[in-house]
Amino acid sequence: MEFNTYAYTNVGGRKNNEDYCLCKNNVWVVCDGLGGHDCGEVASQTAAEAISAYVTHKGVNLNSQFMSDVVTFANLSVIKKQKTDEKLESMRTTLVFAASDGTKLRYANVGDSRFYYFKGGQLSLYSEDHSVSYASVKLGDSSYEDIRTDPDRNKLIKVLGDKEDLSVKIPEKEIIPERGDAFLLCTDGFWEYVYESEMETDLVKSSDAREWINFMAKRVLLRTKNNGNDNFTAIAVIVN
Amino acid sequence: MISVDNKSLCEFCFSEVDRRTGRCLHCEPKSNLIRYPTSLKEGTVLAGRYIVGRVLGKGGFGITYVCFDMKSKMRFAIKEYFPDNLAHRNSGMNVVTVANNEKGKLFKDGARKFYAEAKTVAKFNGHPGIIHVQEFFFENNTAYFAMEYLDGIDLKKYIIQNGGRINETLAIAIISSVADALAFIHSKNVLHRDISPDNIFICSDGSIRLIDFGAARQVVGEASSGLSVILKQGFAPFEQYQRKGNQGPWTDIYALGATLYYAVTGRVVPDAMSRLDKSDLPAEGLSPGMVNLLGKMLEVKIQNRFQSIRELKAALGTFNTSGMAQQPHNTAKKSFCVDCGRPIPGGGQLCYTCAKRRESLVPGSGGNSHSSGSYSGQGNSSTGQGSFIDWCISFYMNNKELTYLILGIAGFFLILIIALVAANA
Repeated sequence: MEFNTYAYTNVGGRKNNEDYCLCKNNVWVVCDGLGGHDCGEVASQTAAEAISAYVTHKGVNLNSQFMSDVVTFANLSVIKKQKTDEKLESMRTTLVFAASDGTKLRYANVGDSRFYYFKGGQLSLYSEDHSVSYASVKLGDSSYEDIRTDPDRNKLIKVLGDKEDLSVKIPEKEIIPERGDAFLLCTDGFWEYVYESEMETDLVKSSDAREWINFMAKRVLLRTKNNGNDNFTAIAVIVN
Repeated sequence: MISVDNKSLCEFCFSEVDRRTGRCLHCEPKSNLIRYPTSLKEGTVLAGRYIVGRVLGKGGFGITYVCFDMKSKMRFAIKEYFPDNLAHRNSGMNVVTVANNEKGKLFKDGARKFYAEAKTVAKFNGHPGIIHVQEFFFENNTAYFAMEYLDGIDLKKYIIQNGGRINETLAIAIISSVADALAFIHSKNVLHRDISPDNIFICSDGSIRLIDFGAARQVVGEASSGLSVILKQGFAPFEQYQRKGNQGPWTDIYALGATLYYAVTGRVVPDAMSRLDKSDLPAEGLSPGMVNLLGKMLEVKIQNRFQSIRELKAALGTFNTSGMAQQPHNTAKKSFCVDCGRPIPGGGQLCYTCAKRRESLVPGSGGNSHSSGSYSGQGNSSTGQGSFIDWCISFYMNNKELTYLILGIAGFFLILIIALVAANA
C-alpha cells in the first residue's frame, strides 16, 4: 500500500505560525498551539517531534494501548518542556495523528484538530472535537454544521500540556485503507473555512494529494483574504 | 505588632498577641505564613481604613487577605480581584498592571463584574447562611470587597481533615443548609455560579455560610474571538461554559451535587465531556439513596436535573440511605433514627434529641441554641434506650396532627365521662 501525502501550512492573518505538522514513516501528525496561551508554536512542535521520536524508537503497533501511549508521551513531553522555562508554563497544543502499519490505519486526536476519512470520494468518518461546541452537538443542543459559527468554538476541554493525567478515548475502529481512499488531518483554522461537502468535491476532481490540498487551501484564502484569520494547516493523504 | 485601644495585635492576623512574650500564637513560626510575590504587603492600607494582614488564600481569580478596620476596630476579610493570567504586580508596588491588549480588556471587564457582583451579594446581608459584605471599592487599578471575617474552616479543608470524606448524614445536613441559602438568592433572581467545597464555610459555632459568588470566572472563561483556550472544569455544569448556556437554579444544583459527591467520596466529579459518553458516576461505598440523589443533581442534561431548590429540598427531606422516597411520616409504622438508631414510633428520620442537635448546625431553622438547654434530653439518652418522656416527645414531633386528634378524642371522652358521672350523681 502506498500513501501519496502532501502537507500544507499557512500563517494566515497572524504574526507567527503556531501550527506544526510532520509526516514520517507512515505516521502523520498535525498540532495547533493554543493562541490564547503563550508559546503555542513551541508546544505544537514539541508534541509533534515527541510522537515522531516515539514511533521511530518503538515502531508502529496499532493496538489501542500503543495509540494511548503515544498520546500520553506527547502530553508528558509538552509538560516536561513547560518546566524548562517560565515563559513556556502556560503553553498548550492540540493534536491529531494517524499511523499505518501498511495494512491498517488508526487515528487519535486531542482538542479540535480533526481527522477525516473518505471512501469512494465520500466522507465516511470524522474525529470528535474536545470542545464546548462539540459537546453541545452531543447533547443535542446544536448541529455539527453549527460548530463553525458557534461562539464557544474556541473553548477546548482537552489539550496537551494541561495536566499529566490526560485521559482521551482512542477510537476503536481500525480502518482498512483501499485504493482511492483518502484522509485529511487538519487544524481548526483549515476546517473552519472548508465544508465537508467541499472536501469531497475537491477530492473527486484531484489527481493527487497536492492538488486536493491546493483546491481546499484556495477556498480558505478566498474566504479569509488573510484578514486576521488563524493559521491553517492540513496533511492530505490519498491511498494508491 | 499594632496597638489598638491598649491591646497589642499581631500585624499578620490581628489576633491579640501573648502579653508575656509579645508573640502571636497563630502566626508562629512566621515561616508558615503564606506569601505570594504578587500579593499586597502586610501593613498596606486600603480605602483609607483597612490595614492588610496575611494572605488567607489565593485562587485563579483573586487573593483574599485578613484586614483590620481602623474605623470599627474589627477584622474583615478583603478579596482583591487578581486573575493570574491577566494581571501582574511589580515587587514593592500596590498597583496592579495589565497589558493594553485583549487581555487588558478582559481584566477590566472582569473587575467591573467582580464589583457588580459584590454589590449584588451585599443585598443578601442579614441572611444567616450567606457571608456579609461590608464594602466594595476600586483601588490600585483593581476591585476589592470587604466581608465579615469568619472563624472556622471551609468544607474542603474540613473533609480533608476528616479523612477525605464525611458520612452521608452530615453531608446531607450541610448541603441542606446551603440549599436554604441558595433558595433565598434564587428568589432574588441571582445565581451563585461557583458552588464548591472551597466556597462553603463551616463556622466554629457550627453554622454554615456560603461565600465567594464567582462572577469573575464567567468573564475569563469567555474566550476572546479567535484565541483558543483550555477550560478548567470542576464543579460547574456544562451550560456554564457555553456563552449562551441556559443557566438557572439547576446550574447551582449541579455544582451543589458535585460538592455533595466530593464530600461523600473524596473525589471530584469526572468532567462533563467524559460524562456525555458514560454518565454513571463511580459510586463505591455510597448508599442507594445517595446514588439516586446524586444522579438527579448531576444529570448532564438540564431537563433531567432538579429544576429548583424546592424540588431538591423535597428530595432531601425524604432522603434515606435505602432510596430516594421513604414511607410517609404519619403511618403507624415504626422507623429508626438515622443518627442514633433508636426507634421512632410513628415514623420519621430523627428522634427528638438528634433533631434538636441537627438544628444547631442549620442556621435560621428556628432551633434553639446550645445555651438554651435543648440538650437536656441527651442526659436521658445516654442511659441507652430512651425514656417514656423522650418517646412521647419524639412521637409528637413526628406526628403532630395525629397527636392533636388523639388528644381531641381523649378530651371528648373525658368530658362525656364527667357528664355521665355528674348525671348519675
